Amino acid sequence: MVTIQTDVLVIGAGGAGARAAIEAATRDGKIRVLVLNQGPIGKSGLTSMANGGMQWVSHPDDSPRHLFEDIIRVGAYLNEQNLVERLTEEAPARAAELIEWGAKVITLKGTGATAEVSPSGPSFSRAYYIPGVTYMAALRRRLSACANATIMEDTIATKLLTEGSRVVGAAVLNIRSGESFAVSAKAVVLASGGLGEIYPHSTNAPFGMHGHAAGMGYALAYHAGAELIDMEMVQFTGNQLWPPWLLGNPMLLSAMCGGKYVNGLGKEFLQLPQPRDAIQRLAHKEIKEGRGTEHGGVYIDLTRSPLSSEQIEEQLKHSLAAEVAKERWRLIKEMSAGTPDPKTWRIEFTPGGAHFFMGGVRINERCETSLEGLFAAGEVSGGVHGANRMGGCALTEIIVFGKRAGESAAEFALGSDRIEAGAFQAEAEEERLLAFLEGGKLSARVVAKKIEAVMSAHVGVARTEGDLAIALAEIGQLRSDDLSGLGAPSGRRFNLGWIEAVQIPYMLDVAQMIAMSAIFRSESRGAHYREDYPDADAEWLRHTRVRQRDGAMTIDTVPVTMTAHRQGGEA
Amino acid sequence: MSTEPVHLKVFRYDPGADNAPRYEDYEVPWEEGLLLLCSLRYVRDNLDETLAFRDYCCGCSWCMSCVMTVNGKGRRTCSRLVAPGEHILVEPMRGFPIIRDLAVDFGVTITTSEGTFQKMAGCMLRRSNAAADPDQGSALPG
Repeated sequence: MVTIQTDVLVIGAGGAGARAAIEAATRDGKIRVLVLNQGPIGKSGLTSMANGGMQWVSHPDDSPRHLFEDIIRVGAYLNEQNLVERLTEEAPARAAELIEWGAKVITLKGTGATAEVSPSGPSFSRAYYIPGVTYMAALRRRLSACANATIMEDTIATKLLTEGSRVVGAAVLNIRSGESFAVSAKAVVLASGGLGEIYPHSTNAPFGMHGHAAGMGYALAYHAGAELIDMEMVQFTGNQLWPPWLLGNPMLLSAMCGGKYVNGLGKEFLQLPQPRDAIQRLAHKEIKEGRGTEHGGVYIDLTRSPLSSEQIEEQLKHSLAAEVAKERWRLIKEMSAGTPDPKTWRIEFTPGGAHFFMGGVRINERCETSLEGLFAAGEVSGGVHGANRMGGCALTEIIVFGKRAGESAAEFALGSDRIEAGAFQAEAEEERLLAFLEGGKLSARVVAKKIEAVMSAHVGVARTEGDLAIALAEIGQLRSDDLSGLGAPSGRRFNLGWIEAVQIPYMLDVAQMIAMSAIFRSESRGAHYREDYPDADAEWLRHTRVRQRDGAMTIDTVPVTMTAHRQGGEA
Repeated sequence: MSTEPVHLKVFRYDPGADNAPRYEDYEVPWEEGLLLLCSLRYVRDNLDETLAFRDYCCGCSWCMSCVMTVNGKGRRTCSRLVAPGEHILVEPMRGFPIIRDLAVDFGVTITTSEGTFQKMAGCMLRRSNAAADPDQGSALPG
């Protein structure tokens, strides 16, 4: 098998990975960087689909401390406060770099993100707007200019190679050719993004297509021995049921267009402002108690908006990124041909669309994980957003911590010797992958749908011990019943069924981590709502921690890093 | 309103296995709001699991990952509505090397300036370059 040697390996080239790679490559100009990405950079992954809201401090009366307070309040005080300090202090400089590299800031009139911060305390209109595609275009251009960075698109890392507790590279599958190769690296940056696709409805998978968010990175880190924290913290948003032609994040229709939250009986059941998690819970309650709509959801009712048709249309263009994507707006007009006036729209949605994942690989300020040689940044890492992410903070997080991860990985690579992984590791991995091609008749789509169904039914917006126990049992059942029969169509080249099959065991690992962490945290905090423990418990102001020990998934807790102050744990 | 199924004629070619491209016909049930990209997903999930295309979607009609040649013209398939009973010819985006079926190599795939790397990764470098590899350089007929 081919082994490629590099100094720094970056797994994933969304915002965090691309920024990490740029940093490592420009550190002293001699460090060799290899960047892997599941698709073409900027035409794949989650950063490219980000609507663009981005928080950083610029107003003279605002300060990093204000932003810090907003983030930890929304995060229900489960944030690693040292990470939030770095985020808030460094965001303006990172944003300025991005703009220098060609990203264009678009000015919005009123944003969902700002509205969301406002429930209590001071807030500033600090949500800037850089659509994900232009954000990625800037990073891609900058990365392409780094002579010592090599980009390999259409590749996925399927295993981290280790020697003892040090990560020394990865086994990689080239999707185009279907061939495996090994990478030997002094330092590895994991920046592989989130896991929305383990839920049936997710903003990570628009139109039910793929977003490269099956959560493989979490499982790769777990199997290498890394610690993961707060895996129960899944941020949900609305999932549009009807009509079929207006897609996007329906909750923004309310925040930006003045739509009212109305149940099937025509009664307004909540008033804004409310944090994202509260809206989810209240909508869930209406539906569960029989006050749902025709299609089984609740309405965002634009007929009751105080705005005029023209004002709503103006805001819609913004909320759907149509300002920068005229094609999208053309499509909406085409699809809504019968009812073009948005003032007549009543959008039906259900809660439970997976949007973002706050938990992940445990990191410190240097983006070091619990494993030597492994660094992590972006959504795959945990701790920055606590129990709930404030709107507009993900696009900030990925460049702040992407840069930090690249810097740390480069320094580590400069100061350490190469350790070659035993050749058998990558070869065994190749055999494991090839076995799917010779495997059973069960297609990955069928099993993925079963995993999604378990997560949706039992590990959704409102959780109970009984439900979560069912989830764990069903995940175990899928593992024992379905994995052996899993197969893929033949032919190695660009075989998407094969890639999906390779992801299935990892999706089960991640599903188990989430359910196990959710059953362990016997309180409600932020996005984690337990019907059987509806209140926050100050004793639970701790991270859950998942790791593999003696081949088994174990769970315990670790303290939250508090640099500023300790709150009473009120969510 | 008509709810006639949609008829797709789809370009198929695996340069590693096939001597020549061919076209396959698929019938996809129509539903309100059906997009061409989603109808290809329907084919792969229900009719032919070997169909290769870039199935990523950014949801904003922007990233161009899903561009293909639709009835002879380049289109974003994520924002191409499908009408009931429509007959549609779907081919790979012109001007790019075909990887397999409708999936193409958009170009800036593998950059390198580093000798040792180039040598070690030779197999992959060659595949990224249409001119150097007839295996990859098949242009769309017509």
